[in-house]
Amino acid sequence: MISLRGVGYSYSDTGRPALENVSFEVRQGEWIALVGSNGSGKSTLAKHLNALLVPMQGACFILGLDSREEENLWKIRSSVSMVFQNPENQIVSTVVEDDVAFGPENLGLPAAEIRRRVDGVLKVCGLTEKAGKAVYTLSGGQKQRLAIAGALAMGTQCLVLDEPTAMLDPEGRQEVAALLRDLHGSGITIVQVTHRLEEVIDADRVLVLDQGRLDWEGTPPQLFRLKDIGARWGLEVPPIVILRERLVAAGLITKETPPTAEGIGTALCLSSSKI
Amino acid sequence: MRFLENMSFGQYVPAHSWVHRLDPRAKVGALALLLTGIFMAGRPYDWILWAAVLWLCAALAQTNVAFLLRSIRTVLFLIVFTALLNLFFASGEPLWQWGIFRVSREGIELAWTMALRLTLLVLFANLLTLTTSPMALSDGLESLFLPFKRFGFPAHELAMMMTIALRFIPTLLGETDRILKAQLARGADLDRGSIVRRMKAFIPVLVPLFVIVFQRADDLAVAMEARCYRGGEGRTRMKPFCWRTADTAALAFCALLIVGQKLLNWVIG
Amino acid sequence: MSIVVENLSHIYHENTALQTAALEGVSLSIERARWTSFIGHTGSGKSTLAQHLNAILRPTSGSVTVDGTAVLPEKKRDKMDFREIRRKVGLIFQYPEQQLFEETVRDELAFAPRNWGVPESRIGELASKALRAVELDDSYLERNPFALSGGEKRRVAIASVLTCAPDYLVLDEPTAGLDERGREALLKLLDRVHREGTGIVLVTHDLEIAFSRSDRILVLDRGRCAGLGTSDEIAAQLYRQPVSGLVLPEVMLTALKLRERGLRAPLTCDAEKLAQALIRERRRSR
Repeated sequence: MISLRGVGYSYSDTGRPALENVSFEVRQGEWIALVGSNGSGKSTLAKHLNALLVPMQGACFILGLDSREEENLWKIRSSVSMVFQNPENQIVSTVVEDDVAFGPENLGLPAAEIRRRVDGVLKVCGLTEKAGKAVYTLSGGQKQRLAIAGALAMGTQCLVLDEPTAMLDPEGRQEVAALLRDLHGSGITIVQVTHRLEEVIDADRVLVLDQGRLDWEGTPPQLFRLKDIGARWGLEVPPIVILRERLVAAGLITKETPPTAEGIGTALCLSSSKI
Repeated sequence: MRFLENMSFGQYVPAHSWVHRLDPRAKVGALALLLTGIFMAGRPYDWILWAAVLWLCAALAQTNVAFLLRSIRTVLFLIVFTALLNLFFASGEPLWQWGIFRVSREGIELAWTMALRLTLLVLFANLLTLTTSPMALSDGLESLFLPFKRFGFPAHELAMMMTIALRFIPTLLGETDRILKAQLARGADLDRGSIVRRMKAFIPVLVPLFVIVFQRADDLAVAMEARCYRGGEGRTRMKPFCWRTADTAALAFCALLIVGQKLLNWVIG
Repeated sequence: MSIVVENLSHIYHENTALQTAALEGVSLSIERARWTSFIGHTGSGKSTLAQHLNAILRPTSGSVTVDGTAVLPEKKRDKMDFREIRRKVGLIFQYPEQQLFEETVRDELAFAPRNWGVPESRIGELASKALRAVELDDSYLERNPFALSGGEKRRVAIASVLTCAPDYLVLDEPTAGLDERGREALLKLLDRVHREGTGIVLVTHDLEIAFSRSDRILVLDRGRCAGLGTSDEIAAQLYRQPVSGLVLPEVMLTALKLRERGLRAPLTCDAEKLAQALIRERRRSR
């Protein structure tokens, strides 16, 4: 679906390039997590996926279309949508349903079709009862869901999210995480940029960026088993995953135990009752 | 900063009244006609007429004049100031004088006429923003100004600017509050000293706000581009306009009011 | 030396259509030697309470007394004392880098001391000291704050409140928007500031930080006090009676579940610590 080959990008002529020789593929229906610490280039990379930025070296193909060709921009942006970090600074209209309609209105769709899409997408994102309300009455989590709704209403096949939960409270983060799981289940391709590793647990693949280069690629379990990702990349393995790894290594619980409080709690009690 | 809290001024309150359901273009046109009539008013019975019209419109909008009057507080200063200007500086035979201040019969008449006109203007304008969502209002204005596009008038851009400005008012208020408090916590003193000193004391609040606003403009532009925005060309509307007989009736009624007022003036004198 | 909050209530937009009770009858005592945390869902009143501690907000009823000086409801005005309170109780808002406005870091750091009337001759040394406290050096003094990185900006913003060595430091979500490295660096900074004698009051959503560092935790729920105690007490309480919007960290939750089922486990958010304790416990029972 999306293919990057040798992509390089710099914000200034001097200093380190923001991206250097990055190549990877995003396949349809996948959930990809792009992780790295601040300054690793993950936001820059995300902006290439819907042609907000074009590569200075290498090429980026979205649905087979070269992002450097200006005539492709329209098609690319109606198929790959982006949700940004700041919930406030991406919402244009005062009223919830008007903002969801913004994208389809730009596409020049007929009014009835826009209405149909807006109603459908508000339902998927759990915002139906907020449809006529003012945007400023929404919580951070609701605003991000609104931004996702606006993206989906464009008929997008791939959602790119640039640190969508960075500015949210725990409740908001859970709302967004739950919505992404639902969307992934319904077949939408997701590329999520984040530095919080507890959000990548459900991803299909994780790509680690460090100082503009793609340093590592693999599944979440593989990532968590690596040593020293804190020192190498400034990432933190979720504490519950660390707990699980230590207990499995010491033989207190089995490998099949899920990395949750419930799972580990039950497994430990079972194994201790066997003693 | 108390007035910032009382934002009943101009806020849209959703409802299904007769006025709410009118086409926004009809409402803007009606407002223009009503204002024309108000600025032609002068006789005492004219004011009674307009007060009655206001009462009627408020009722049709499922609200009441008392609620509308609360919004006057925000512009009370302006109305009183204009009235005083007219009172003391209008030309005419002075009844009382003190230096450059001169009160004449014409001045008194002008003062309260102006005050009444401005008050009615604000009340009717409020009725418009109360019954019309910001989106509908800006769409309506855009539509009305479209014929002027061929002369280079940026109808769509202005409408978009209006929508975005309205959208961010609550956000900006919250940010102003936060920055103000942050600087107060660092010992800023905004309540003491001369006018000049107090204005300088606002720099620590204004500069950060400017930075926030410019960053926001940048971010928002990128976000709009990401959603395929490219100006007004080819854009459609989810809620297209639908001109009904009610809209024609509303405009006709307002036109009749102006004619009626003129007739009354001619007949009664 | 303490901040005493007594039966504090605060109503926003009193006597208007938008009236909301943000705080109702909250009482607690904040000791300078302690690390106190306020936790609660968004809108529970944590920030409102924090803003009372240095008289940015005045109570609608009740009082806040800082080292003997009382902040009372608006009827009794006395501005001079509040400035003294604000010097003693430093308040850092969320995303503090947004408050920067000067052309040089030096001027930014001098803003607060100048407002408090500190002689210009002393300001240079206070500025350098504050920079060192946030692990930046004097080379930053002449730089433009707006040209710094996000992390550096936040440190300068924090330093600008530390210049007058406040007795207490109140921080509203200081780790908001930071990545792992940034978060750890900030906590290290706060630990050191606390060790050197400044009382810390932390408003946070991050229960891991609250549990791992607080001497006392205040739980707020819809403006009311829903719990006040040590980390262990509050963790156990939240497990028995969940409070909306508060999600216990997974590791802590595991420990609580194990305890409930009769196993011994320390109440901690630290995965390594819990793992070691459980492994030791298992070896002992063999």
